[in-house]
Amino acid sequence: MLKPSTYIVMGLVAVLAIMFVSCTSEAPGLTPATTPASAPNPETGHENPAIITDRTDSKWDVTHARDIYDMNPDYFNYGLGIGAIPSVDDPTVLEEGDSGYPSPDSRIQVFGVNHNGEQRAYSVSALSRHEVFNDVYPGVSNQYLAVAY
Amino acid sequence: MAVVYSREIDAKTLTLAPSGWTYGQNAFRSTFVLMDKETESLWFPAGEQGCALPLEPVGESGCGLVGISGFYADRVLDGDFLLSTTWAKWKSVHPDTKYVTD
Repeated sequence: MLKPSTYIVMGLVAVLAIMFVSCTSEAPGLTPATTPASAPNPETGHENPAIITDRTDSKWDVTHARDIYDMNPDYFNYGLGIGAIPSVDDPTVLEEGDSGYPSPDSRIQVFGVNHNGEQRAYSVSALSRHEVFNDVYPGVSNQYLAVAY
Repeated sequence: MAVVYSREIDAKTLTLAPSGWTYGQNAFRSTFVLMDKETESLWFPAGEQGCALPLEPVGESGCGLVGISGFYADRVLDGDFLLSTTWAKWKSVHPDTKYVTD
């Protein structure tokens, strides 16, 4: 059986402990500037989210790329921003006889695709400017392809 | 080298585009990181030999785009390598070919 004074002492200690904790967590200097760290990944030991910022100040969360695919956030380069290199989403598809259709002996470089019974040759110079062509092939399935350089 | 990818997933059609990032230890020899305009998930070529990110074989061809972050993380868009050739050679084998430009 504990004396009543012991209960009072224990109560005071508890109150002081709660005040200390709440003061500590509310102290402005101790508030983290960024979002709190997530729980450490048990496999990699990483504690912080991996955020990379591109030249347009857009932020990209590559935590998953780091933790699952072992990609190094420092190896993401350039960060030119969305739209800096515009993809072609409505490409010009030329047939024989159309203006701009190359002559049969043209030596221009192309990437050829044979899909759904249709053949299309993609201009390498246009691909190098845009990196990605989003294209649509006639057919009942697998119509939507992208060619990336 | 170029790669052709399927851009259909879960009965939706994605529009792929450069994210503005490349990835690689050497910035001058790094590989484009793609995104889809619909969710801004990041996609990176992964799979067997010849792919930027070595992984287990991905998709039917062994190489494809893997979602490395965002909504489509861990999903796969199957891909196939394309070899460049001259128009004259391609046209002689495929006389009915169309020509695609920007």
